[in-house]
Amino acid sequence: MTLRLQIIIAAALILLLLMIGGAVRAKRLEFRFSLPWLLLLVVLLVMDIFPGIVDWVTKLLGIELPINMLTFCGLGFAFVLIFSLTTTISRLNERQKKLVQEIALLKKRLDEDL
Amino acid sequence: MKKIAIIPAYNEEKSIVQVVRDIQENAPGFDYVVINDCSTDHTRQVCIENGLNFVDLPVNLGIGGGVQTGYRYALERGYDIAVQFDGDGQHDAAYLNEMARVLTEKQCDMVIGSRFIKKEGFQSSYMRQIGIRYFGWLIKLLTGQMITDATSGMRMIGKDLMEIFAADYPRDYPEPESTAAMLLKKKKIVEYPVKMRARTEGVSSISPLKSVYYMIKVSMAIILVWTRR
Ligand SMILES: Nc1nc2c(ncn2[C@@H]2O[C@H](COP(=O)(O)OP(=O)(O)OP(=O)(O)O)[C@@H](O)[C@H]2O)c(=O)[nH]1
Ligand SMILES: [Mg+2]
Repeated sequence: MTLRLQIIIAAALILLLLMIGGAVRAKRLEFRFSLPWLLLLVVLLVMDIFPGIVDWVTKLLGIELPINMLTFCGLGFAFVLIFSLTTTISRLNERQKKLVQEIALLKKRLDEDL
Repeated sequence: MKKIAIIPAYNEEKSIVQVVRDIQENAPGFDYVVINDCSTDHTRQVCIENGLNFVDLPVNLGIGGGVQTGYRYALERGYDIAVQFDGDGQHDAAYLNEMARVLTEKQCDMVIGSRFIKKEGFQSSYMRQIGIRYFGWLIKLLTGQMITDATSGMRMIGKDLMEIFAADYPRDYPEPESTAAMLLKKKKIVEYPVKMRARTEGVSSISPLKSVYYMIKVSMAIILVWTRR
């Protein structure tokens, strides 16, 4: 990896970091949901600064090409993240249902008292 | 004994009044509540104009969420028996008091109105019947009891099951799944022969493509329920 590429990647990562930071600051993104993204960025940044780590992990996992290792880990990360999102949605769904029912029943009581 | 019919209604402007009148005339002793599940037609206006007793859901919750609202309504108001009764006019209120008698006399937890005991009245399409048979068979395999009309929306329950369903009820296509769950809890469920009518107005919520999804989803849900037993 050339130094130029390393710098470009680092710049891009820092830009992403600022984006996420901005979203959290503006409360468009809840802080706890930004954590996995921050973790990902830090890991990528470390890999960018010390490319030797990539080769080392690739060997450790018994994978031949570093690019395959990166794809594999990237997919793994995406899978875990999306899975946690669907469980979050399920929980929200259930809560929303309870609230909607509660509102409807309360409104019914109100209408009856009028 | 306080008894109530819970009428889930999604876009039933043409039939809902008729359904309520049917209950008032042919099921003495039954109160009713219409659950208007955010219909996009004039169901709400029709309910108001005709002075029907209805609960208005602010967002669509689907049949399961709607009926569950009804169970919570019934519990809040101290009902002992609740029956789910379709808003499209397919069910016949004349059976309700007979079903209530069976529920109390046989001390059952649930009485299901079944089209397939006497095989009279509207029998649904051939494909649907195969699907319903298949669910009966799947439930028999997992619980040991045959249910001839597991998808029937005409189901009467007592307080015990109202409480269970108010806390936890499937969102869509709830009937076969919740029946299996209750059988696995050793609840007593019997079927009562009824005739149903063909839908005259409105649109069925189950299209051909949806029915494939229905089969797969409900099968998996029933198996899931079995693993939780
Ligand atoms: N609360 C609620 N009720 C619904 C919804 N969709 C349908 N329903 C009601 O559920 C009942 C049964 O729906 P149908 O579409 O007739 O289903 P079905 O009786 O199994 O199918 P058909 O035999 O084709 O009529 C009716 O009273 C509908 O108004 C929904 O999204 N929410
Ligand atoms: Mg129907």
